Amino acid sequence: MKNIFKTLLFGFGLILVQSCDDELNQLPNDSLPPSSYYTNAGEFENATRGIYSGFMGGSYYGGSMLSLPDIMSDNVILAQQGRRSNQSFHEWRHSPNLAWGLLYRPYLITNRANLVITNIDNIDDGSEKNNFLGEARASRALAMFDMIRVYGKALTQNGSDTSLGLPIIEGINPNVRALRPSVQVSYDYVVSELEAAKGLINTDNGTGRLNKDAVNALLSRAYLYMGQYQNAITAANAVTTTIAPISDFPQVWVDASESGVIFKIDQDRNLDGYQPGVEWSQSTANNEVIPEYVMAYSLSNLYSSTDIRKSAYTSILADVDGDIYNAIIKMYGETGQQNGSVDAKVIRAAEVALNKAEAHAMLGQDADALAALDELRSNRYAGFISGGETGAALVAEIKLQRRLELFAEGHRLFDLKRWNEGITRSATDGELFDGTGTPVPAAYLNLAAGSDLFQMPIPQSEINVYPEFQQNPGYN
Amino acid sequence: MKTKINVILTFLLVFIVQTSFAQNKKVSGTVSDNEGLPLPGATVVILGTNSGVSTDFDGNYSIVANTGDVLGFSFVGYTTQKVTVGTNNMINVTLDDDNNLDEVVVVAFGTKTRDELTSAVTVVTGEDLAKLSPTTSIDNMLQGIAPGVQVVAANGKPGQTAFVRVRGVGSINASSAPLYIIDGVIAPDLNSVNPVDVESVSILKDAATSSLYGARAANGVVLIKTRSGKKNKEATVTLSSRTGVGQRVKDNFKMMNAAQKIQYERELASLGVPGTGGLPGPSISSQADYDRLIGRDTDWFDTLLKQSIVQSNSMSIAGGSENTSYFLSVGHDRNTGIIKTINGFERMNARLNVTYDAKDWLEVSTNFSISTTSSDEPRDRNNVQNPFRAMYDYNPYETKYIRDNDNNIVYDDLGNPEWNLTSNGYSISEALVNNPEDEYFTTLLGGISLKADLGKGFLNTFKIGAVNTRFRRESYLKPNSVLQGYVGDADNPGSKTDNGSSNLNYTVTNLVTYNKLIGEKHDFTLTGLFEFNKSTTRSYSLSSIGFSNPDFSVQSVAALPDAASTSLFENTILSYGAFLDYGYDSKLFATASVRRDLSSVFGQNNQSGVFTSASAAYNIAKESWWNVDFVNDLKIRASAGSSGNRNGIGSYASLATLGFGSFNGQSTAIPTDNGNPDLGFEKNFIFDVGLEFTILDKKVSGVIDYYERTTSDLLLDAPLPSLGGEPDGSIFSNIGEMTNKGLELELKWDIVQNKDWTVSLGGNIAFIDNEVTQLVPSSENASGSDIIRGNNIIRVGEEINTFHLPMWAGINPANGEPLFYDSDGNVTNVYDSDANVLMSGKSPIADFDGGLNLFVAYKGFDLATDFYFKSGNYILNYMESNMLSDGTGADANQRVDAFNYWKNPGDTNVLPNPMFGNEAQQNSDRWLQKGDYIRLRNLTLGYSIPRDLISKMGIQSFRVFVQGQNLWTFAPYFNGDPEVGIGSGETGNSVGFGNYNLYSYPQTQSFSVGVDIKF
Repeated sequence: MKNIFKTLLFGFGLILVQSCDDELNQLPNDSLPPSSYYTNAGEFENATRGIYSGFMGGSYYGGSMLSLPDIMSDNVILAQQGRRSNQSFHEWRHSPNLAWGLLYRPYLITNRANLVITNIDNIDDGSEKNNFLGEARASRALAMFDMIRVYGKALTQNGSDTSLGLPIIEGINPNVRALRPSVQVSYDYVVSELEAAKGLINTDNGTGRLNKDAVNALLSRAYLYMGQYQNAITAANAVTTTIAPISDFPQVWVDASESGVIFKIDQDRNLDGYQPGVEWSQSTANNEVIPEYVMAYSLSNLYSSTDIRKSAYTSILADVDGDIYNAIIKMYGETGQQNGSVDAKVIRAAEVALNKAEAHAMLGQDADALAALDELRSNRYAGFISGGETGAALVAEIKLQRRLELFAEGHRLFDLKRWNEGITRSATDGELFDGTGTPVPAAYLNLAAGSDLFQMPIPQSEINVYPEFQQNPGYN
Repeated sequence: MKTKINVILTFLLVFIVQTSFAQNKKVSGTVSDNEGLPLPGATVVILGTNSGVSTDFDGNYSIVANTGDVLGFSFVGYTTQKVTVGTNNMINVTLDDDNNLDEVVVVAFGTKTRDELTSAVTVVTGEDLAKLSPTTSIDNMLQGIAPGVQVVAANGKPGQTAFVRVRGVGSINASSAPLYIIDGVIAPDLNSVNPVDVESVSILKDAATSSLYGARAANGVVLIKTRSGKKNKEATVTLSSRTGVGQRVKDNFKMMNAAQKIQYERELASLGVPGTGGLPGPSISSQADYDRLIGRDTDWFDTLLKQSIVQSNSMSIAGGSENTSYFLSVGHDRNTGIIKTINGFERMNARLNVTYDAKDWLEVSTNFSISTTSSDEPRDRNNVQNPFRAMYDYNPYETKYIRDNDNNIVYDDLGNPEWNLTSNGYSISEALVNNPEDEYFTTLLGGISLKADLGKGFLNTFKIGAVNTRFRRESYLKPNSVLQGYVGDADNPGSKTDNGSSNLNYTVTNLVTYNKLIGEKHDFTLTGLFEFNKSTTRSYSLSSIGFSNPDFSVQSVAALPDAASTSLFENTILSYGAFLDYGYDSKLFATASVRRDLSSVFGQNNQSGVFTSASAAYNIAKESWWNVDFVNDLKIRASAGSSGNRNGIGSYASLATLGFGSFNGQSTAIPTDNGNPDLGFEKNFIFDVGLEFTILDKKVSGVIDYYERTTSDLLLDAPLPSLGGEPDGSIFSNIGEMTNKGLELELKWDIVQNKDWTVSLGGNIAFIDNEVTQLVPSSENASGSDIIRGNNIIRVGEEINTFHLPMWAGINPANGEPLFYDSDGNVTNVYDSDANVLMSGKSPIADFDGGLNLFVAYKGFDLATDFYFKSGNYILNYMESNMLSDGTGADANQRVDAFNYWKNPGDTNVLPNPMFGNEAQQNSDRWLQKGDYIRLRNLTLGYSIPRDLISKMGIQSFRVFVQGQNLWTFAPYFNGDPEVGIGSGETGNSVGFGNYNLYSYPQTQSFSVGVDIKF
């Protein structure tokens, strides 16, 4: 009898053993195998938003893409009491080991876009499908464009025909390797993708998504970088968004207005919380700032008192020690906020006008150029009267207005590069609001036109994994 | 044959005794155990004769002996005692629980005697722990008492656990922490265990024993057995209480006072050091200004810190009846910590262990414990929010509250003193009030087991063990706080985060054991194992902004919830095993084991692992031919075996996944990982040879072990080019390999042991040598590319995490300019941040560490001292670089020796010229210091009231003691506290611990008094 109980007890243990086998397969509770997704429009909608979320991130439109091109140029000066973020870029000491890593996010976006494109035939033909396709193709075009702006030469530059672009990736393969083609190939890809997207994408996607205006606007920029001025004009003319008037303009920078904005990374400051403004300063409730970089004194003098941009972009603010700066408030925060969390503006109607003005000027069409320029200036200066510039003066004014308008939006370095100009900083101006303070050290005052340092180095970590991947000249 | 001799001897003795009767006297007394209970049936013999008696039911004996005879008192399970017969006719003897080679050692899935052990196991008993400081976590107590078990306190925060490494660092990316098992149940850490509940801690160091735990045992196993009662024994109640005060371990340097700091600022300003002209020192315009600043002279250590109160109280009851034994305990610990304003750590725990003989063949038992802790958490990060940075940074002429021109405190409209935001733009005193953060843990740990004797040598043990760990954290940024102004949302002031997790980890185990003795001497035990383990972790995090009232922090009052998230992770292991134990005639022992683990976390191509081990031991001194009299035991043992480390693999790491997130408040779907179907556990193989001996009547005992440990298939991120868009940039793969070799020595010498005196000296030392042997291969380096982690590097052929920094070349005596070595090794005044040099042999890993202890008892007094020492590790002293900032951090307070900067051409042995401050304050090995130290961890003086005075009151023992902890430290090369664990709690540190100091919670020293009563 006793043995029966013992056997029962033992048997009970064996039953428990058997019941555990199924437990060896555990699947995640928050994700799916990618192969089971991309089956209906709702899923494509989510995947498309996933593409846009890729544009955030500190190395891209969440920070560096808007700040480093200004930090490396003559637009800003380092505040000595700040945290000295990005100082090595300000001082042109970037190197493969101290590089701006802007390959990761654009290729991440490319991968997300490629997954949409590869699977798009899972949904029915029609405008909805075309729109997804257009957004995906425009996204990977923008990603490529930004990479070659950072790592490559513009086609307007000498020697750009033999210089390096970045590989075009269209398949789905995490292990893919491809050498860098010429920058010409990459630029051609940017415009061919954008041109293709133009016929697919909706006009009414809103400013938070790529749309027909955005594609045309980006095309006008791309053709400008390629020196194809007529194409730039054609693309710019296709843009319908109008320039923000003076009355709206300050509201644009606190995200209270979308006036003049064609495409932006439309984040929720609480849920997404990217803080591009922190690249310039942190601030306290008392409106004291801990500045990182402030507007260069010489540049601040170029804004006239009737220019709405002066007060929309800068403010004279003090730090806790009472030092006073031309603090950059272009990305200070949404209305009433000072946390630096605002939407990154990727392209605006004002730039399109400047693209158009410059393209006309380059083709010697001064009257058209002036008209486009005045379209902008009349919306920036109170009581504006056209200067009626022509010739060299007109070109200079277009370049000046481009600098004034696109300050702290990530253009200056690329514009100087594409104009074949060098960088010249003041040897005497300091960081304080009146030009006193600590000037830029002598070693970092001038960067010659055409310097290799205009093209960022490919991060060493990329070369380490893929030694054949070509480094840019000047970084070996 | 032997029996015959005995008979003859007995006759002879009887004859001798009778013939010498006239010189004899009658000696009598009582034999009791160390709890004062009589030991019936104990043996009392006159040594050197065969004359002996047994004690009666009350432990009384009486024997006829001669003056000068030595009486031997012995009882199974207790240490034999010898007493020389003197003038006194009454000899009462207390026998201690046995603690030598016959001791019972808890090992994997059972116990063995020390004699039977074939592998390296270090045992620390509850008594050993009781001698040590009353810190609240057992892992901290293991420091310096178990050779080969390196324990580094994470920091000095009350309730903080320690970094425990058994035989070195075993992994690069996965955890190197050992597997903790409490009463057979896998536990997350040791913080839930009340030290007074512990009967023994066994640390399984080699594979022969830990291999039985398979895929989780690669980094060693720490087995805790809690106390149990004894059957047929009346309840013993033990009360322990101690209370004390603690304070920060003092620095071996001095900070400037107000006059010195002002002088320093003036000196720098007059040199023209950038950024110093506007400092208060040079800005002083009148004697009154100067006097006012000097008059403030704030001691920020006093202003921000307090003396901690450390209290520990516990009660336990142990006993048993015919069929039952039980142990019950409750405890309460409190340590207020040393930060003013906030409270520290508090823990309550309770335990009940019961064993019941349900039938003559069936035993049921349960162990169950509850532990709940709460702690106030200071920010542990390298910025103004950290009180331990503030206490060094704040200037002595600054004050906690704003002062007017007459140095009177300024009050706001409500009559509250106004916080002074200091030169940091922040008031840490305010932050401690207005930014509270608290953490709570509740741990329920229990096991229920059923042991059935199936007859014919078969024993079946069925056990279910489970641990539930619940964690909760609350962090509140009050709407009126200064920090709100910096980081908060202006429209919705105040923010609150509630997060937490609950983990349930349960294991079902069935063990079938078959024991057979063949031919009297061949003892076989074969064990079959089935085990299933499942771990489920759920976590949540909620936050809201917009709090109208600083006193209410529940989120229901918030204006706007801004984040909510929960997660769920599950993983399982299914295991089968077979273990063989063999013993021959109590002198030769051997084991063999095989275990197969299948786990849900392994990739589909690699779902199981098989772990094997073998070991043998031979006690030569037990051979009949052994004739070296002074050697009592001499055991040689060897073992080899494998185990695994599953810790590094996330629940679903092997799978390709597409995850969901949000962007601008709407759903997104994005690929999150490409997975790796080949993913498996990290492998561990240890070969160990050991020697254990006792000599000179067992007065001296020692253990020597040499081992070679190879961990392979280490999980590494094999990076991919960005081109493919792999979300995390790499494929997590089993690639790396590393070896640890070491020598461990342990010695104990009972110098004196007699009626009045006990003197014993013990010590241990462990040497370790780590070498990385394989990393992710690349086209340039087939054996693997370097992994750079900040200022440390992992390189094949070197110690893991060797320092990798540009080298400092001192200063130029001509102008005080800092000099560095460039990448070609030439001295230059141009700093190059890329000129990193691998500092071979300099890493956060010590070459050796160990402990020394001395125990002296005289009559009722006892004195215990414990030292811990460590040598050969290096630490980046970042704190020093801030306190000797060469003028770059002159707005913060500095060390007094900051005055010793270059002033005149030819100056040597000085700090750089502050005019070159920015150039000098570059990252380099200038701040790399050797971390050698020796510390008096514990000094305890106790007095036990003689038993005859208290036994009438029904008290078995009564001991009072005073104790000091961390009273003395000698660190010849390091400025600051050399016990560096976490550098900075909230700063990511992929190296792990010990590589830099950066204002984490400082170590404390404490003084306490205590009383232990047993009745």
